[in-house]
Amino acid sequence: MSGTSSQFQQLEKLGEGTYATVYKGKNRTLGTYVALKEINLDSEEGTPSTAIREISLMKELKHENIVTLYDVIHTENKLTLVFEYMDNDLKRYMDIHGYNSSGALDPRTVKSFMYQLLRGILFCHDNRVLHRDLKPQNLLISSKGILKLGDFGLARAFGIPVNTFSNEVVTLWYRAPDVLLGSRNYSTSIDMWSAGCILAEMFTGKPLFSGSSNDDQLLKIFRIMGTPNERTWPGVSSYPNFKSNFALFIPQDLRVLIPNIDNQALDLLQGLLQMRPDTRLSARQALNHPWFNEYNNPQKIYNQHSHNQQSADMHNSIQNSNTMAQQGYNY
Amino acid sequence: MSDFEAMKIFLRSPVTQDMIHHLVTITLQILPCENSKTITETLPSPPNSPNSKTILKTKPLPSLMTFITKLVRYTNVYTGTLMSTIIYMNRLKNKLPKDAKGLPCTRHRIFLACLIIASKNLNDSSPKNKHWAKYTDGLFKREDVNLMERQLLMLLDWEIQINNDELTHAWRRFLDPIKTDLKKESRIRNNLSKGMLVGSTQTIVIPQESLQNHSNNNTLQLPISRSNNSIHSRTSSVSTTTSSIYSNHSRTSSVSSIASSNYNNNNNNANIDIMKSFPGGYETNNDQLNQALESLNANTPLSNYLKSVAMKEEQELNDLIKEYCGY
Repeated sequence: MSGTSSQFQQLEKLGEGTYATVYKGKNRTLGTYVALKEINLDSEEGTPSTAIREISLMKELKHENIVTLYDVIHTENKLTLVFEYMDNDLKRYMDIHGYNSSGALDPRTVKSFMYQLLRGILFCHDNRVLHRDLKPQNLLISSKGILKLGDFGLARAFGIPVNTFSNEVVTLWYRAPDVLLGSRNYSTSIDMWSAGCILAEMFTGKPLFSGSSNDDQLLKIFRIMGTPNERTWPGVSSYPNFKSNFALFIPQDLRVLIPNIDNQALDLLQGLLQMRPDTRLSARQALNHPWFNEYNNPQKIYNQHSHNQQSADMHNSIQNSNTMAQQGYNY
Repeated sequence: MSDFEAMKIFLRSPVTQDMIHHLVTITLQILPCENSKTITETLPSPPNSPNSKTILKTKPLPSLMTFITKLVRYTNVYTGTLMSTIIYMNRLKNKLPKDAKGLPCTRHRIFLACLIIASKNLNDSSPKNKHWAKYTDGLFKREDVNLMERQLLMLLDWEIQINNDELTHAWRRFLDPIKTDLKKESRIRNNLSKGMLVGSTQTIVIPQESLQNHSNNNTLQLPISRSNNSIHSRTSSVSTTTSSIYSNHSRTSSVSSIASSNYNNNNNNANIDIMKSFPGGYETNNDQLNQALESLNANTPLSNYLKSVAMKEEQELNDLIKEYCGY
């Protein structure tokens, strides 16, 4: 991992984050496209801890549903991460492909993306990594309908007791209620809540809970999921941000908010949007949900959907899970 | 008792001189470095420009022991963060060529860079490099710190993730005694509960101490595990000396804070809770219980051991203060 920036021709800007700018780049020798994530180094801070973690974690996470880090170029003033190029992120994909410009995706695409998202999450969790910032903008979509997890800037290894955690993680709208209530000893369930929010958003084209502050976010969640109490969530009153005078709401029927959701998808969604972190579905449990029977039962899917080019591609990617990952470019 | 339990106790204990000493030993073994004296003797260089010369004169290279001790004292670094540097130093050692040789300050740079990387990797918030530069008392400038961080990341090829097996291995010499003590302690507890105390051990609390501790509690971080913590608050309550080695995890566990508080400075929410739930303290317990407590204080191996540890630590601390604070 010690390339030079002259290997790549810098093309148009793809996006801008809080601490990095992403450009499209072209490998001068191979002619292939890459994404160049450029981080300007602040001499007071040194190498940002987000970059240190993102690089060291992504070096270990090689999976077809996780964006591949090819190279790192570290100079005195600039740190450049060279990633595989992806055409879109899920947010933009929904804006472009959602029907009636509502952003909502057709149920078949939702299922395929959700399956791939859960596979990416499972791989992270199996490798003791929390992503901690799952949201549509951080899920990258290729022209063939492959979904990959990107932006591991907030990711952390978990399960080693030396870690200390902050609860200022995950973009507000996708942040789990236990984290909003001040939990610092969260684990894999933090990512599963985000996955639930993303599932709902793919069906409707709109964020499920779009709060403007920590408290407002909690209120928006309670309004739909019901205000928790010691009976529905034993121990909830011990969280640092719990207030005994929270406005009281009773749980709403999610079907009213997401009219086009089928029963099985609704059941999965409810499993992911469990308020209590300990009862929330794990990535493995979610992947084994009956909604995914067609993927978990490979014989069926070829016969059912082989006429549809996109779903056939997706299907191939799911089938050839191991070979795909090894076809990475060699710089 | 499992490695994991012992590790959690180790992580809650304050940084000791023994730990720093161990770090110095590991740092010294990374690569041979020229002594600063031999350099000036064997390689007479042309006179420096006046500026750099004065800098050299006013900032002689401190010993590694002094350097690390000061860093620990200034930063209040977590025990776990500090001791994880062992992993990086060992990895670096394995990557360096056999004949690698350093300048007088190379080991200082390596240690500091390892500490910065450990801190940035393991904690969600950590000091900036300009702060780290300040913590070196002017030995290194911000640019130096940035460079050593970049060089270490390059040498380690960004492989800075660590797992529990590595930690258990690297901390063996600290974890083994804890495991032995845990075994002893659980034996004593078993004997007590079989005999006179019948399951009421947790009411033995020394109230004054707990209150005192609580007043010092401002900077206490939440313990990693509540339940575990309360187990060890029981440990401390079995002995009336203030020397339970494990019961206190504290953010302020620097070498200097040991001085004022004799290891018991920041405990402990669990104690307070227990006190509240048993408002009578001693009174509610019967004579048998008090007798048991007295006999325990008087002559059990555990209390003797704890006393001896307290004395030893106090002695080491005094030595340390003499050595580094000049009185």
